[in-house]
Amino acid sequence: MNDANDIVLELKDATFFKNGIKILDSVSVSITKKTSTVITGGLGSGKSTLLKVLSGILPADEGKLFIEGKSYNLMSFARIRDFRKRNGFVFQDSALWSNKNLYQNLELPLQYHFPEMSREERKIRISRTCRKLSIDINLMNRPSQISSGNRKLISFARALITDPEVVFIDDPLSALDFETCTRIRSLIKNIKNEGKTILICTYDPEITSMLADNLIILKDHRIYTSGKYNHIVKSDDEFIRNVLANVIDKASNFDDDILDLISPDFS
Amino acid sequence: MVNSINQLGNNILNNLKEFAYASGFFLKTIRESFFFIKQKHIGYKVLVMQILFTGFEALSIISLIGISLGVVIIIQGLTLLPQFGQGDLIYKILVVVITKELGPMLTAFIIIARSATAISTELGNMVVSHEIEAYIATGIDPVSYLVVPRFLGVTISLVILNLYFNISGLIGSYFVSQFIRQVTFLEYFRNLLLVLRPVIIFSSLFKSIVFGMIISTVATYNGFKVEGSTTEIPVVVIKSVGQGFILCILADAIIVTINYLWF
Repeated sequence: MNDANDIVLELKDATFFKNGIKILDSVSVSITKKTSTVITGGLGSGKSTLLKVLSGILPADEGKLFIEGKSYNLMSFARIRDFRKRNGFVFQDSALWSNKNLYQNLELPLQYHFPEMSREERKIRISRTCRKLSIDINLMNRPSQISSGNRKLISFARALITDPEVVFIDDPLSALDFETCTRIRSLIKNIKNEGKTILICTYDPEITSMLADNLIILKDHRIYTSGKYNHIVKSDDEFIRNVLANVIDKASNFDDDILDLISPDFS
Repeated sequence: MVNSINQLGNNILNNLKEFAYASGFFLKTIRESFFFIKQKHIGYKVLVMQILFTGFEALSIISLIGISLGVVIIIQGLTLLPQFGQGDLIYKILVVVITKELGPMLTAFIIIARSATAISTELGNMVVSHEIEAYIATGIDPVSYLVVPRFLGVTISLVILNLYFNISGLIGSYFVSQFIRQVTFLEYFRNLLLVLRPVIIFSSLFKSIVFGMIISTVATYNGFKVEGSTTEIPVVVIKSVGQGFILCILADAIIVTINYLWF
């Protein structure tokens, strides 16, 4: 049972329309501090939209979003700014600001949220973040001048530059090569190990099995099921087993590996 | 018949909604502009870049048009007006046409063609590539960071360009007048200053401010109306140009009428 104080985000009966089409239908979600929640489901089921509504980027047409118990619509500009300072968002298509170079992409959140920080301090913070993420490219380049893999890494760096407590990640592995996928999986694992709250939309079975404390499965713009990953993964429901088919394989491999490690005699 | 009435009603309702939304957008821009001026804002660089693009880079085309217009007015005036014994009216015509009417209007038209199109295209592309969402996710208000610097930049540039257009037009007409009728530089400008009343200068600058606010609001508003496809961008650019022209001409008509009735 979670303490009410541990709930960092809560969405109640959220409905979202785009061009008259219902993308989310009466969705209710509650996210606890320092947990990792994986949002998955079929194509076009509303995963990315749910992530954006939960982060407050897209306002729900109906329903309410509560951040740390406060209604988002009633929050003052200063509180929203403070919440933004404490969260980072990694977009599916990176969404780097194309009219700025990579350095400026990383510097702007610092300039905005830490006005007291000197130019030199910002430079140190940027180089420290890049080192942590093993980013070794010329930051004077524009986003269009680098590969999509590097764009994704810079997008992670931009989200993490303010050392956020909550990280939203939208389909981190889409259209990436094998090597970058491996780097990003390990990066996400590190973010989890740092104790940050993670909300992630992904189809990737490896990330799901490695990361998920909680699972939300969407079907036809509604929540099909949600709850503890360990419970859902054991479900006999055909749709859940279809969605999680690869995840369950990975999870059983993972379990086998653990068994190998703790008692090699069993194998 | 019922369907037509329904459709008409829906159209009126949609237009009213859009008008209300655009008015809200304009009021938010005005409010954020005050905060922008009061605070040390990270958008100053965007403002400087906007003035550079809209104001400085348009100087050559503005001066060329200003000089050309001055030449046309002085040649036509100096050849036609003396035939009716009204040669002295040339100064009044120069001031009314260049300073009061065409200065603000032509600079506005040039800025619509150059900058409004660029602003709508840039913002539309940012919407499509989710860059606006990235600003929101970072906590940066797109109105205060993207709209206000463009709003202030276009308005300030338009006032400066209008002044520059006036100077180019009036000086250009002086040089051409030397080929038709020799007038000393001092006499030419003394005659101009006699008809150049403060109310005319104020009216001209006021028009530039209003046109600048209209052009930048229309361009940014339409840029943000793109929803997710690059094919929408040319459509909103055309809207920005059309609405910019219409609203500037309407505003000009209203200002001229008020000016006529009250001054």
